Amino acid sequence: MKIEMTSSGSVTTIALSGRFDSSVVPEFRQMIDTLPTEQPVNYVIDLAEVQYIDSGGLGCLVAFLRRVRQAGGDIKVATLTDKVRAVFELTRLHRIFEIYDNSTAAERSFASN
Amino acid sequence: MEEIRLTISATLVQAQLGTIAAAEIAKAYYRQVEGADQQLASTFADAVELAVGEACTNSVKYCPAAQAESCMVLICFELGARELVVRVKDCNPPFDPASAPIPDFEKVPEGGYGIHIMKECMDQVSYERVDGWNVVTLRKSIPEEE
Repeated sequence: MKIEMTSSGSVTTIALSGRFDSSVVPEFRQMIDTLPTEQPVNYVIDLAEVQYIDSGGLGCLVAFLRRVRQAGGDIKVATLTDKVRAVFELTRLHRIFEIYDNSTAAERSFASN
Repeated sequence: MEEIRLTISATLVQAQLGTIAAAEIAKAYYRQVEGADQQLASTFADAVELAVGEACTNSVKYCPAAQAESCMVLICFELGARELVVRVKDCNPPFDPASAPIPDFEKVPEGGYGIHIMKECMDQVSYERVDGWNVVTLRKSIPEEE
């Protein structure tokens, strides 16, 4: 899986591509551990290029969400394919994460909060 | 009854490859049975991919660490007239997925979704212990056209 991060103002967008499954959990958790927690940071996770997500990938996102919310920030999710959205719905996580059609809309939503 | 067997090492990387192979087999099987409806074949294959992926990941996760290199996971496909049966076999300590509790969605757990996903994606998920092997059987039918 490829992980690309871009920051604009107070929002950091993390674009993932490839298969977000249990085999990449260590890499993703390592990435989370390097992110700042001293102050609130808002994140957009862009899943446009993620072809597959399993329970391991979802667990990473939940762990990340907990960590970010504890620091006073939030995570919004953008650009889910139908296949990935179906897994969010199966696991009820579409009720936990705010989901947007694209990362620009997700980034703007932070400004309107 | 046609059967295809894959043998993978008990590693997450090999589990990923086994899962991709399962998706391709499911898609090709659907097309053989029903013709070339790309969308329906993909929907069928996506469900099989998820369920087999979770089953394989469990086989790898519960493999005793000392044996990980030598431990094998078997993925066996039975291609029935209108039913695909996938058996994921490992020689880990006995583990019945049916005994796993349904995740408490209100508490938003970080784990425990895998078996729920398997059950939701397939028509039937069953478990048996056979000659020292855990055998998780995943069944999915192609409905008859009305």
